[in-house]
Amino acid sequence: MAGGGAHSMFIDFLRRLARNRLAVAGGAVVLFFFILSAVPQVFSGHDPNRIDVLKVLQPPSAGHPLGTDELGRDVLARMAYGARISLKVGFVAVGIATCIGLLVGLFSGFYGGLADAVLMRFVDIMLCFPTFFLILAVIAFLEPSIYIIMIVIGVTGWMGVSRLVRAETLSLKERDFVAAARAQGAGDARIIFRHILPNTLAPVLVAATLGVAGAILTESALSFLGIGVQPPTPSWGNILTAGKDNIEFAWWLSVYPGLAILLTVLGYNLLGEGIRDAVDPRLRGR
Amino acid sequence: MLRYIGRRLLLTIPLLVGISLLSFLAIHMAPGGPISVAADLNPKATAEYRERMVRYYGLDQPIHVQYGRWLGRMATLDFGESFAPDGRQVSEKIRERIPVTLTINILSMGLIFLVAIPLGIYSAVRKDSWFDRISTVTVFTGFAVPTFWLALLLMILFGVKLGWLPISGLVSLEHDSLSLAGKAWDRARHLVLPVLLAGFGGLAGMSRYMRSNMLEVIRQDYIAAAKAKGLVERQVVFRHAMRNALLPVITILGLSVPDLLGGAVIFETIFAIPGMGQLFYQGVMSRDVPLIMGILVIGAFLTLIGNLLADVGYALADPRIRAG
Repeated sequence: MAGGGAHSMFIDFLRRLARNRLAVAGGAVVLFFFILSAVPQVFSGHDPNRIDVLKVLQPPSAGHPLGTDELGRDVLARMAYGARISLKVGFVAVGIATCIGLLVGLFSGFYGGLADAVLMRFVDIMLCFPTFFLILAVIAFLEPSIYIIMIVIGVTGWMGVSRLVRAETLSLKERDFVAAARAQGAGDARIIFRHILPNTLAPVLVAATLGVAGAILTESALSFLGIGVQPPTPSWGNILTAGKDNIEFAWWLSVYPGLAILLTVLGYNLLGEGIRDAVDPRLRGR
Repeated sequence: MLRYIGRRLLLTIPLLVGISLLSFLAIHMAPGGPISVAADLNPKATAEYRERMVRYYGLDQPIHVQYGRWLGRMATLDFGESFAPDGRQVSEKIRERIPVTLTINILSMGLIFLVAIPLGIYSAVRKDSWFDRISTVTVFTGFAVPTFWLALLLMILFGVKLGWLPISGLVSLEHDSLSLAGKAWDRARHLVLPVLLAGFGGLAGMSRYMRSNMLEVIRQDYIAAAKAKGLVERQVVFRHAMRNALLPVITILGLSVPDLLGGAVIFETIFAIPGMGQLFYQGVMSRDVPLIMGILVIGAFLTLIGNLLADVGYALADPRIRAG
């Protein structure tokens, strides 16, 4: 794990990633939505929450490129600010899931024995409940807010990562470099976090990238059902709810937010697949 | 084979206990415990009602006795009375909704089978052809499409613009006055969009999965041997390669149960279909605790059954599993 080696490995990784056209396209989409959520005012001069009763449900025009919604608010502005919410939920939820998954997986794989058996049975049991059911059941008892949504998606989504990390840890802990670290007097914590953890990060990064896509889809579905991000806070999902209510006269309310979700999710999926191929060519085509 | 099934059944017992424990904890972790949730949310929470709830949940008993009772009720699928104004048994409500959800899901699994498998096989056999490329792009897009959005688009197109298909419910208003054939046609028309959407996510996944299985199998020596002895391509593909590539698909079908159930909540709500998913959504919106817990547990049971069928089906198809 010398510094220079890691550095050139990273350059190598970037080079391989850049050669993958689909991954670059995915990355570009991801980047675009990042910029959109960072500076939404550049993309639309309108206030996303300004209600204008004289301009209710107007089709796309020069003034409102993506039309207006049932309260006369500019759809482009709401989508630009909604991007911020969707990305925030996606990233925080996956952050939570990844942290839990990493800790459980490392602990379980490294110590084995009873703790491992108990934790992995717990994972089996969690996986018996349909995730979407679990999320809805938890939300039923809490006031839905963007923070609750993040936490709930995160807390119900770590099982895959923990299995992945456990499997990696099981094989890593038998390697010579772990024995070498042990011989130098390193304690368990140091071995786990300095020697094993960095080597599990590549597959975790892939899982996390794909996870962001999944979390954004889940959030938009929840918001669409009215139990996710609550209006007036804009989110792609809750704009679509208005689209459903006005399905007979305002197609633009349904088409554009869905397109944004589709592109974002596609972007993260392509990027994730690209990262997987670039970190480990052996996994290609799986 | 029987021994294998027996062993496999034994393995589900700890999972069943786990499901019961976790759901028991969930009820008791709800803020203020089951009684306070019930009292806060239910307008008819009179003193007498509270009394009944205490007795029902056995809250005057020690915790292990409470758990024992919960276990007993789970075994008999007795989840108590719904908080909804009708106050009917949760198990009864679920029982009348399950057939609808299962029918739609089984039909959509059939659709997945019929479309995804030929698609995957053809893509693999003609790898890197235009067909393969287009289907790969389509599949990737398919993974990313939010199903509820696709539902909206199809509703706009077929329901509103073209007026070809109904967009809500299972039958038309005038269903009762139709002839037998008319009734069947009416039902079929109502099922087209829901079945298509329920299967859509699986369609993309399954065709991708079939493609990579097929690619894996085609590389094997026995395929080269089959080709070398002069068999025509059709025979190599269908008689030799496809059979082995199909094996893991059995597993995937069994494992897709939780996703299908989760998806049911979304499409049943959109299309106003009276299935278990819609019932669950209504339960969540009205915080009907017994109903939520009941469906959660039933959902977990169905997932377990799916896993079990996947394993048994795989063992039936592949003798190596039984021996191992």
